[in-house]
Amino acid sequence: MIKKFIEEAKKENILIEVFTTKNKSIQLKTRNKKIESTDTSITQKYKIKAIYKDKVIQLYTDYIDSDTLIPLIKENYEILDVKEQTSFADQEIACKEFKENEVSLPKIEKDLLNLYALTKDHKEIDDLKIEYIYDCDEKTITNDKISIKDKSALHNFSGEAILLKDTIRKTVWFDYSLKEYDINKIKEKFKKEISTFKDKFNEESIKTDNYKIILSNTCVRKLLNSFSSIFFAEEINKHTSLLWDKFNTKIFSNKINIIEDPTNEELLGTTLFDSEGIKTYYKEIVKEGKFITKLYDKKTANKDHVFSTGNSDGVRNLYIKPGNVSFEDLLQLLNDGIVIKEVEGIHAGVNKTTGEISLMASGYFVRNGEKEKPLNRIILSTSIFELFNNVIEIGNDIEMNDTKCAGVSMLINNIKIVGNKE
Amino acid sequence: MNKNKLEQLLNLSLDTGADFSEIYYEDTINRTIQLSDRQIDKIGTHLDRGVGIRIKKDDRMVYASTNDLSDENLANTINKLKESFQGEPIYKNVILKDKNIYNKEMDYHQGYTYKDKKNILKKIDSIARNHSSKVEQVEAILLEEKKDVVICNHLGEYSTDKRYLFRLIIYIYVNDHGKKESTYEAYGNNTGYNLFATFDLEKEVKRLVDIAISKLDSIDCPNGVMPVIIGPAFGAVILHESCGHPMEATAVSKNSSVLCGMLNKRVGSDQLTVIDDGTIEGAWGSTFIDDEGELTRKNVLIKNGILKSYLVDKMNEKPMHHPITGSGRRQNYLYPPTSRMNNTYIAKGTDKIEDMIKSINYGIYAKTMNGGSVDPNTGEFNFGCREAFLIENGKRTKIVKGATLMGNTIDVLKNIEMISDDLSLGTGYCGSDSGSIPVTCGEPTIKVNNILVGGNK
Repeated sequence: MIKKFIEEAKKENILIEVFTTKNKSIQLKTRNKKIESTDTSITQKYKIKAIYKDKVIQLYTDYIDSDTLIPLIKENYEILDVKEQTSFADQEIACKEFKENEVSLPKIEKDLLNLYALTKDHKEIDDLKIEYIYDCDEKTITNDKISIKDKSALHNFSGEAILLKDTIRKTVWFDYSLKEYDINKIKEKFKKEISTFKDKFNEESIKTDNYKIILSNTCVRKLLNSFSSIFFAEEINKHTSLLWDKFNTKIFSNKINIIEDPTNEELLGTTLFDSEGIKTYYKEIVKEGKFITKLYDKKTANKDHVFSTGNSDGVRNLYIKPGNVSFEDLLQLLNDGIVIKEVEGIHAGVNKTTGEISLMASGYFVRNGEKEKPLNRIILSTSIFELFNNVIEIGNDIEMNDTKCAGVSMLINNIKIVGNKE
Repeated sequence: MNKNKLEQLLNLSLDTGADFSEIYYEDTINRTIQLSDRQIDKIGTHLDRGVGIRIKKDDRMVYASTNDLSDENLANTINKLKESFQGEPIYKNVILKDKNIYNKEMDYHQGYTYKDKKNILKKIDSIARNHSSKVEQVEAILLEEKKDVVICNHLGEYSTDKRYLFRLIIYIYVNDHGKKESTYEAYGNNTGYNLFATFDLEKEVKRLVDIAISKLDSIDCPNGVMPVIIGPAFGAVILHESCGHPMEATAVSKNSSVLCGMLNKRVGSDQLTVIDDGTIEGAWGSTFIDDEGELTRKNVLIKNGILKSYLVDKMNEKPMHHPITGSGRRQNYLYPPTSRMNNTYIAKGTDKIEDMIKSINYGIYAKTMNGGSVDPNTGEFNFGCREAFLIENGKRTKIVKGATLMGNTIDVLKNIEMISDDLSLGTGYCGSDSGSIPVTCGEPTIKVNNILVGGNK
């Protein structure tokens, strides 16, 4: 079908490359020890890159139908201004061996229901939902010269616990992703999570002040994800990135090294090539605080007369290089201060033009290196520059939960935390 | 997908004893035309065509979605789904009959040629740049979408809809000697290019440029608990997040909403009336039917402070003993529907914004909001302000940056002290269990006492 479409388009002087994603996903929802629902999805979606005369047109479609797609390519050609010299994928990339790791539904159902046994001594749990998602992608790029393939899968466990004590309600969310299905790892993480549930009822706010903080690996991952677009050449060239005039200058503390490595098998976003067929590779974006690598797809790379960095689909496995210090050692170094465990509402509380950050947060106060009291209703009020310049130490506790970014905990000095306590 | 084929598939899905079966089919074309750097820089065209099949027995639901519409694949998909159940069929020989049919073709281009569309975007760019030399970048996006929907179920109910969406988003970036700021605004309807007849584009672009420039002089926002005036239109995102989501059956039926058990009880001040209305003509969040084939309707959720209705979909009708409200919505065939909002707004009051400002000694005027998030279980929320001002001694003074509002739904609803008469609607997308859907938030300007404001001062 794809080959036929490529041939038919060629007759109209349109050159075609098709990026196909076959996706299989299974979602199982449980609630209070009962299976609630099962969702399965099998789809095949196509990203079509068409070179017509001097322009490049892209379509995203559920079906290949020359009679629909060829007129659309011609219509879009009339609207688009930007002319582009480009090429199709031409590099043969050997597909790595992929071990199919789909787990049978009855086993997953049994494993999920067994997780509830871990909560038997936790009377504070009023309602508990645990979900599982298996997501498997097979990606293929086909043009008239080559056909390359890659496959990846992820297992995700997430949940929501509603805690109740007298009339006070609290909510806890948890979310873990793995490449290999391993219910014992999930049990360990879940056990650790529920051991903190009772603390939720002792949470309080704090007096507004500047504090020494530890920003948890989860928060660092989320913030890195939110700010990842600032490293892209497209945003920099349009002056819409806050780093528009900062290339090859020092932007963060010497301790900050930001890396993107889609080849790292230890992380979740491993991929052989991007959707333009560019082979991915390890790259240092920020080295010892200096911004040294801009991220490109083919279009922006052509404009700057450089090669694409394989980032036509955004970032994969972007992380801050871990330090040598464990989280426990970071706590000792913090001595007295605040651990920010979670931040909420990143889509609304981060200004990507100025770098300002104002986010609802929760965590706990630490005295003499020991957890003293849980905190909630506090606001992390800072900027990305302040956070990454005031860093004292970087942890080795790399946390990964999505394919784009991973995080490490960081000890940071002098950060404003807003609270409603006098 | 003709009726005969749908009947065959429904009957197949019911033969192991399912007590509910539904097939949702959609065929969508969505195009975005983007201006950036003074030229039409990107065009994104998405063609979605697929089927979502939902079968239920007692309280267990199974769902499958696919975009392979071959007879063989659809039969296989249903055969796998129905393996979840065992038993004699409850429903047999389903014959489809028209229930709610909307199949009126609309020319949403309304005479606008490709050239006209390009010219609109380029006009936005030139108005902005001519208005101020501080304008460094302009981005503008036009979105056009046409979606054909067919929904049928085990009761033989067959409904169709033709849905259109149209939206313009403008981003303005300014730079004054290296100091940068930005702002944006979105405008949408479900009828097409007649949107441009509803407002003065030139005036609007200039207003946005002025806002972005004024933000260059913003001071750090103070922090603490204080009275807050929340502006109209998309300011109601707070209402949407903190009050709308906790009214959705998805949360209420599982006893995981702060508004559970509050029906016919006081949840807000006397002046507060909240409505969710999927029928508002031309509104961005309106549809003829919901994604379960039911007619959308005007639902009064809170009347004079008393909770009158939740938002209820078919799955939750029986467990909640609450009539459906035409609120089952989904992003596309990949998602089963859940109870969601359409166009949610606070009815207008009688106060004036000038009086609200005069009544505050020290507080914040959050004129426009960025969005935020809420925990429906506890009602705790947080929101970022796009444009906010300090109020000192009854006067609006300096513009502030980095303002975040944090609070609790129940507290806020009870602490709404004044409601003005300037009701307007703003467009946005709402993300939840059944994906990202177009919604409208609306309110008049409101004054709320005691919100925690976070800033860097």
